Amino acid sequence: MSGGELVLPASAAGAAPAPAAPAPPTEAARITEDLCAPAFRFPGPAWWAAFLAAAGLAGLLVLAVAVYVIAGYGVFGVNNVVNWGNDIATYIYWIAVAVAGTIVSSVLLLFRQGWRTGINRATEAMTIFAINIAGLFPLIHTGRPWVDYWLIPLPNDLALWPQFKSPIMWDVFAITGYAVCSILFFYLGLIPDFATLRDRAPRAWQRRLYGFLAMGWSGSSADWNHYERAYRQFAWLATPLVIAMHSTIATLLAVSHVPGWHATIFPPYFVAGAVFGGLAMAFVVLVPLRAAYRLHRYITDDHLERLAKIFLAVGLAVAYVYGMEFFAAWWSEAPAEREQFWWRLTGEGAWSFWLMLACNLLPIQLLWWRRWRRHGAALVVIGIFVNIGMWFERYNILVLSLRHGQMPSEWTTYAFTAFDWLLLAGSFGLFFAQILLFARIAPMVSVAEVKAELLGRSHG
Amino acid sequence: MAEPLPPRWVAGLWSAPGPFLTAVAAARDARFPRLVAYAPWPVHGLEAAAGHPPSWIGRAALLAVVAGGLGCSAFFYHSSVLEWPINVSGKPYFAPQFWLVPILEAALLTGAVVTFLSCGHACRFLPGQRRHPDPRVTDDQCALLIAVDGERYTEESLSRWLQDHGAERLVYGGGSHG
Repeated sequence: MSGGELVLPASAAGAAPAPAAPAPPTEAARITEDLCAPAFRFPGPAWWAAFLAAAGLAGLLVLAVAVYVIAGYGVFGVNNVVNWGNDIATYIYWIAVAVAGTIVSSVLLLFRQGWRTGINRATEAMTIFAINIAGLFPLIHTGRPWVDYWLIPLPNDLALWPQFKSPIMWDVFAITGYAVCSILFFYLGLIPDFATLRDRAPRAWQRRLYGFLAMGWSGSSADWNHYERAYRQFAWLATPLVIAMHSTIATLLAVSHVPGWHATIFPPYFVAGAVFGGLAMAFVVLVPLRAAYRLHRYITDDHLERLAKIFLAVGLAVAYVYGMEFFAAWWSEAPAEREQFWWRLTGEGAWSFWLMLACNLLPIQLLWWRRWRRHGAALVVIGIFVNIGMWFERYNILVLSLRHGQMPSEWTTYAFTAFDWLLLAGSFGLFFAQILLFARIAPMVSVAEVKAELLGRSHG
Repeated sequence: MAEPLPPRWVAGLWSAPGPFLTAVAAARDARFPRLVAYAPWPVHGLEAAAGHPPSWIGRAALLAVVAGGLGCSAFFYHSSVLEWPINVSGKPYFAPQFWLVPILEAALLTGAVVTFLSCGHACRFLPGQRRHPDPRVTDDQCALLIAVDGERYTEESLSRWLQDHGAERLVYGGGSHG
């Protein structure tokens, strides 16, 4: 392609004014080196230890699913009354984790928040890996996963269509749409970085792999013109999609008559809770990644602080909703609603309710202080507490509501089986295994976007 | 763009986006028969300097959203009203408001898919190809490639022009400089 090269001396470089800021070759090349180098290095023992641990946990998920397929749905703790248990609670939990990535990548983009470039890749990766795990759970929950294709909008063996007026079908559309949109958005964002990796890859197989993934990206002005428009377009599409998706899941519960579910506040409640739980997971992922790959220059304390402010704000919104749920139950004068919420406070399942409140509302109070908003380790610990709290939030909404429904004759118990634990732990293993693998093959910070942000600022 | 490079060309490379943008605008004003500008990151103002019209992808996505919504509505009407109407107490159970959620989601999904495909079409996504003058245009340097065109624009005259506009490095393709 290139027939030759001529490097000009500084005096021959014409009359154009010299840049005032640090020389971009050094700066841009340093950014490339910092962010792309891990993809070309053999992983160290710490990565292998973490990956094997996560993959081992993911194996438990495979084991639980295998036993379930052989022995049937009865291996889990659900019963006739509490028929939505661990699998649906965990499903909603992972959907919420996915939401945070879209909020960071799309909503902050629409609000022209340049600082998002340091963190959007990692949170988008979280979205993709969380949504594929979330998608497993409804398929498991059907009880007969070999006929899950009946959920596809096609007539079944009796020529019956799925019931499109059912919120369950809305959920199928919501998850499918969100997953496809997120994957395309994520991949589009990666293409220029894959091209950078392709042109720097030391080995032939890496050049072929990244050449395939980069789709022939050349970085011409015409390409950037269309690319940037498409990227912004995705942000416009993903934002209503993510809100619609989690609102749909909330509506799925709210349209029923189960005490504890039948509330109009559910859609905004679920969206706020999803952002809250997702940002908690973002801290758990971002801070260790920053330390492991020495990304402090790109994921700065300022980034963490700004995320922590959003985190605190949505945490307070969630606290408000917790209060409003009780107020609405009292104000409704519906005996079953009042009974449900009183039972949550004082009944035999109250421990999970108080644990949720303690995990979700107490640790975030530290974030009123700037020092803790910029403290990586503290944010990880708070994030872990909130993740526990947010899982229990879904557990409480589903299990406590079903355990203590309209009919006292139906009041029952619910307990995890060993396979429920395997399913839950395995989902975390699968998530972290995917994050660790991705961190080996692609930059965890968007190379092109960070250059545009840092160098664009330097050079006007 | 991932289209074939001209048979012979000269490319100048810049490290700083400012002088590069000035050179791209000057090259456009000079009306060279064929030129392509490359940048490793989205340089603000490059589209305007290169004279590109606004991308049509937004319009394609809007059409796709509308088409997706209408298509989904037609599908639900066909499946739930025409082909398999549910009759409740002698009255057809026709409730389009229940379809709003999946229609919205299908519309957005169609918009997303068409946006991606449109971008792939406009940028000529094709696995494995590489059509740029120098590997550094995906790393740390911007490039302006100008086609050599017989007697009028020789390699020498284009090199001189690029030097005069601040190029720090010149790369030649397809000619006798190899």
